[in-house]
Amino acid sequence: MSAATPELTQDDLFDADFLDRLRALFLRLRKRKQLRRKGLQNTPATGFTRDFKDFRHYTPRDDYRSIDWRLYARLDRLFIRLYEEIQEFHVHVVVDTSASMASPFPEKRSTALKVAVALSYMGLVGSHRVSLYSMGETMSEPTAPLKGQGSLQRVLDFATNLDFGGLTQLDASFSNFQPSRRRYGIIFVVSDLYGNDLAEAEKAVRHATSWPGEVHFIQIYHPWEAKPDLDGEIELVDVETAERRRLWFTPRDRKRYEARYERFVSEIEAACLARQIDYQRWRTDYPFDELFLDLLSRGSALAGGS
Amino acid sequence: MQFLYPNLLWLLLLGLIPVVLYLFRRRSKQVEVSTLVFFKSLAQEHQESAWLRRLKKILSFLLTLIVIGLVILSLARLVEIRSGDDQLRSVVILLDRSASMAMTDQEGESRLDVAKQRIREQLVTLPEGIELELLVYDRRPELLQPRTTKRRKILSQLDSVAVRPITGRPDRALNMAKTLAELALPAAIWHFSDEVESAEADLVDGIALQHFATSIEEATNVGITAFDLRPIPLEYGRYEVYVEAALNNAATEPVTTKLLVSIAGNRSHYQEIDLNPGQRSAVTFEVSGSIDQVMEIELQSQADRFGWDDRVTVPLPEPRSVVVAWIREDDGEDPFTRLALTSIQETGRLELLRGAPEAWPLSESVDAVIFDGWLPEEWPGDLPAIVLNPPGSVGPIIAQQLSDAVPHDSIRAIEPDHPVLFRVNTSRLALTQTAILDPRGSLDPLWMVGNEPVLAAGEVDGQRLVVMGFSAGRSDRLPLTASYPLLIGNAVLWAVEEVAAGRKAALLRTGEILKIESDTIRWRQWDGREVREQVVPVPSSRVELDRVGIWETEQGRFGGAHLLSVAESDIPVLPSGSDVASVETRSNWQRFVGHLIWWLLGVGVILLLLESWLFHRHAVY
Repeated sequence: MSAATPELTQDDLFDADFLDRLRALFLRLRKRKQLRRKGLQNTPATGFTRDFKDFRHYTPRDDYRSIDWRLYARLDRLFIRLYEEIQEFHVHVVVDTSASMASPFPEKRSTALKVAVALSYMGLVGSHRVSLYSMGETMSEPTAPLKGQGSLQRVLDFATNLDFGGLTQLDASFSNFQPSRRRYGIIFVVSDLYGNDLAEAEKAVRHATSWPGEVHFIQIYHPWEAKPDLDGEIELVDVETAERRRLWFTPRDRKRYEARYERFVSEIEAACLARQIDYQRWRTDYPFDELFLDLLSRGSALAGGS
Repeated sequence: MQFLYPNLLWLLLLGLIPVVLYLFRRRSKQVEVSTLVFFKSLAQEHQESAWLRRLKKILSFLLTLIVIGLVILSLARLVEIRSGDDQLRSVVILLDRSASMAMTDQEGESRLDVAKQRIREQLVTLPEGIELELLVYDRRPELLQPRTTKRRKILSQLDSVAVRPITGRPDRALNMAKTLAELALPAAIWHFSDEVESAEADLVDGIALQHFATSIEEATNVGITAFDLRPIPLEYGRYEVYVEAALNNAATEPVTTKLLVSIAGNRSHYQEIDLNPGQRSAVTFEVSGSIDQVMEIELQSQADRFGWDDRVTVPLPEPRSVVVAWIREDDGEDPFTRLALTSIQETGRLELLRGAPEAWPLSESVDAVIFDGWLPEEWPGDLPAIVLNPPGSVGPIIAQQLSDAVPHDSIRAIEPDHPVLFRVNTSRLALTQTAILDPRGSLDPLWMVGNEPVLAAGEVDGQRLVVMGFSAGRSDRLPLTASYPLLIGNAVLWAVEEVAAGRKAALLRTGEILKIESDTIRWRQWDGREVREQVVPVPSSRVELDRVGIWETEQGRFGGAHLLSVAESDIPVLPSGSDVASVETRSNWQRFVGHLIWWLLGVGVILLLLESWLFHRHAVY
């Protein structure tokens, strides 16, 4: 079933104001990172960046191209130059494109896309490779790895062209998800995690343990879904399956529903924690900045944490 | 099937409301949700397919219509009539208010109360517009409420009906009810009585007779069913009492009842009577008393809940002497006859006037006359008479005097049990016949000598006559025996018996009409439990004796009124296993079997419960 939701333009997802806010967030994250590193030892790892780090004696099997010939000329001893290590991650952003993400609450779709774009932007700004996926009944093929801020337009094109509809097959999609192992990966799954049954999400989380890199589950939800404002005789229509169900909803039922929903969320969170997977609930009506900052400041490598 | 209130059937239009609601029902609010898994988890057990839900919805709608229909049918009072297509036009309610309807059950409820309640229940089963009549009866039927269609009038009159200590005559009442019913055919007669079966009645086609027995299942009753009191001949101030006690047929075991007799409050007689169910036992005894004294007879028995027949109260009658005139020739006075009459006179019961034929007709009032050897030319037809040695024929006396008396050695008694021959021994008598009698008509020969009657007695046109065709003085073995005075005495007493009976206390049965010349009548009545005195105004010269006890007019006339009814004392019971309000119907026409209101309401409630259980027992369906 394809959800009849209004089309999103690129400006809806990524306008100048949003870019400013992302930059500001990025700077805030840098500042946080620097503040956190004050008093700590630098990492001994060296890399191939242009940032000089140190000298050391040349030993066989070292790359002779690193020998500092000027210093040899002065001291007649072989030294090699060490540079700062540069880590390049592969950021995988998986967006749930099932019908439940677009209907009946389109806020979920726009939020999910904004999160995906923001994460991609962060990845691109950080000179990481970024791959985008859509997840519905199956996991789609990823986009070609994007790199550099110039790829932001492609990210936006991908986001705006996503077709929301169909069922959510969490278990099948996650079992088919095989991210590249060539680089350390940072995997973001943006979804409402509503499966065919209540246990499917928890079962799907288990697949994430085999993914290379750190995994973040971002559960997008609308406040109505946690506390539905229903009363009396209603006919419920599942936007994914079109299944209808009639019931007489009472305040007692509402309490039972809320308790059941909370338990569902808690079970997923507990399953993630048990597997060292980051989990964040993302309520659509909460400030984006706060939640995004909170997401990146939880130790994500994307934000420079380790 | 028939509706008692067909005008309420328009309420069936109310069924259009659920139809409209069903056709134009508001669709339930549709809400799109991201997933149903949370809602399913609320009531997983109620997941049903769409077709089942649709079926349930249709069933619920149909059940609603059925419930509405059943309720309205019950309001319209659907009743079932077994057969016949005719419509009932009138109902005659025949209610027994005779004495036995006062019989109470263990809850203290009388049979009349039960009958009233049953009538009220029956009335609600009747359709509107049927004409009703209320006819109550005891000894006589009384139309309490003429034909009306207003039930409240019937109910109002019904409240005023009370039991009266009078014997019931259902046959008369039933005939009257039948007559009333025939005026508006087709009709039904509802007979409410404590009798198990209704009296026979020839019903015309179009009349249904329904009998509602209100008798109880077990009853024991001992009652006085007959009573008499008369002065004992030749004994002043002595009375002979005859009491008959009976135990009802439906009694389950024999009963020993105590008969207590008191005069002026003093116990004068006590006797125990053993009675088997259905048995009647008579006892006679003598009591002494005087005028102005009251004799009370009471039966005391255990388990007897019907009191009206347990007591008889009667004032003792005046003991006046019998006055007899003896007409004979002065020179022909028979000394033996004089001796016999004198011996009776000495007891104080007989006042004898002696006179010659010249004294006839008598200037004084007498109770009887003795013609001895003489007969008047014009026969007195209004006086009891004893004729000795008739000289010829006058009036009913046909005789011829013999010129020569004929002696006879033996007498043949034709009717030795005749009261005139009470204790008269004829075996050793010899008499001399002086006249030939011709006992025609109602005179019966009592003594025969050869082929000739010499003693005859009988009643001619209400006049008692005793004729003797012999002479005591000339007979050999008659005058000196005790038989002659006995014969004379018996003849006198038998002849004046009717006159003496007139002097007995006025013993009447309840329900009889008494003609009085008084504005009030004083009652000393027995209500079954206690004796009360009451003065009742008399609107006319005739009053119905509707109480048990002693009545007395302003002029001092008094008497007793008692139930004395075998039928009322024989309290019936229902056969075991029968319903108290069992119905017996005799007609080939139609009859109500019962109204279906409770069935309809019961089915409606069951359907409501079924619908509730099927469709509303859980929130999710």
